[in-house]
Amino acid sequence: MTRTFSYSFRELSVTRGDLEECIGGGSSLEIFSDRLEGVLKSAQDICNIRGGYRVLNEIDLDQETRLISAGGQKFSPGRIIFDQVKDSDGLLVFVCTAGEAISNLSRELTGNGDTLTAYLYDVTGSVCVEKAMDKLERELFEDMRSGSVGLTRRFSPGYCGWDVAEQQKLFSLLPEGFCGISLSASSLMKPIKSVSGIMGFGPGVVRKDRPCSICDQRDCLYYKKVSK
Amino acid sequence: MEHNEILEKIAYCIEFGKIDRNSPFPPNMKGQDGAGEYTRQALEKGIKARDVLNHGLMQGMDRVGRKFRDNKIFVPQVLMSAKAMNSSMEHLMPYFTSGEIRSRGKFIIGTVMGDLHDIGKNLVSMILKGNGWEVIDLGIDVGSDKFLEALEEHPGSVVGLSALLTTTMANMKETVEKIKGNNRDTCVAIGGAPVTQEFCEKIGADIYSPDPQGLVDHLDQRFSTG
Repeated sequence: MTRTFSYSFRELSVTRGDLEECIGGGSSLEIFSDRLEGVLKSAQDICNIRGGYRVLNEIDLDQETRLISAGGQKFSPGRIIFDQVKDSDGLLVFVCTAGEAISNLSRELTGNGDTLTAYLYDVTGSVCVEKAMDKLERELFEDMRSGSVGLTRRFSPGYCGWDVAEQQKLFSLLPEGFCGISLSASSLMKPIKSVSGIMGFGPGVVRKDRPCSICDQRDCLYYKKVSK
Repeated sequence: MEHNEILEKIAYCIEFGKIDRNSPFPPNMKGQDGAGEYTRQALEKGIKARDVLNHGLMQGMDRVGRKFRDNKIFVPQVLMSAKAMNSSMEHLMPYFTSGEIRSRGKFIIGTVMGDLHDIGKNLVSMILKGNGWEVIDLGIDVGSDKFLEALEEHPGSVVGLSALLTTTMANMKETVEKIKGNNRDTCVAIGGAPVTQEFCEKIGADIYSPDPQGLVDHLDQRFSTG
């Protein structure tokens, strides 16, 4: 079963604070507040936020090898992620994008020498797609909780020690060009401002804290959030 | 204004991203002269272009690189500083063309094949330029052959490879092998979020740095003319 969703930029309530958090720097970014506000305002018309997911009810989690079998694929997400999803009965494979236009605009601005605005649009695209997934995750969590089913956090290839190349397996479980997102041979999603990953679900699933304290990926955006 | 004072003004404007009088950044310097005006004034006062470069521009960008490394400033501030530096550099270009001042060397840079990320690469380019290097930017998704062609055109250049993904990081290995196979003395620097010193040694690259300023420091050590 696959489902698709879309959100308006307004629904996601992306704030200047969200962008500042992603950039880092806190109050030192105050001098760019007008520019940040301007970018946020115009991003409403530029972002085309949509995504989708496939629900896989038949999965196998091998506690010894820490392999997850789903839809004919064997995922090796590593110890950290496996421990988070090991009590799942099913898997949800998702993708989400902020669309092509925001990256195109950012590239165009870089070409014209307006590197600051280009960078702010780039950050806005990243923040936007993460907030869309936050919203979807919350909605799914509440839906499932009402049926006494638990949902894990979302995990993506390239994070928590999961090899980004496994994105190829993940995309093989979705229809080609699902939600307008494609994957290159080097596992780069197009549009660039896209995310993909998995969530586990089941009656025995307990949502755990982010595993950042046991992960050594210090440049990760989730780690940066937690360590603040 | 004394020579040292005007050079410090240039360095200060670059450090804080004050491009020119019309630039609204930073707000506390609104309406004041910026890097462009001070550079023009310095040259008009007879300060040697080389001194403007070394003690104005490079001094300012050196501070920027160190503050960025130490998380005291962030990407937006570096971008504004780079714009201020470019504004100064415009006034110095004729002196580069005439040979009165020379760059510290040529640095060919690109994001490796399969990877479309360019923010990190662009930051490195900006900070290198500000430290006196001539940068030849090949862009993103650059194959080994393009690096070799650039080396043929600009012999003796240092090559910098950037990658953001572990999958594309693997393409660095092939590029380093081809570059070294062509001329083992070519210095190759690598960088990007997943790259480590261990990986650098494993693939036979010469320099790894987690931040642009670290690269500048490495290059200073390696190519110092004393």
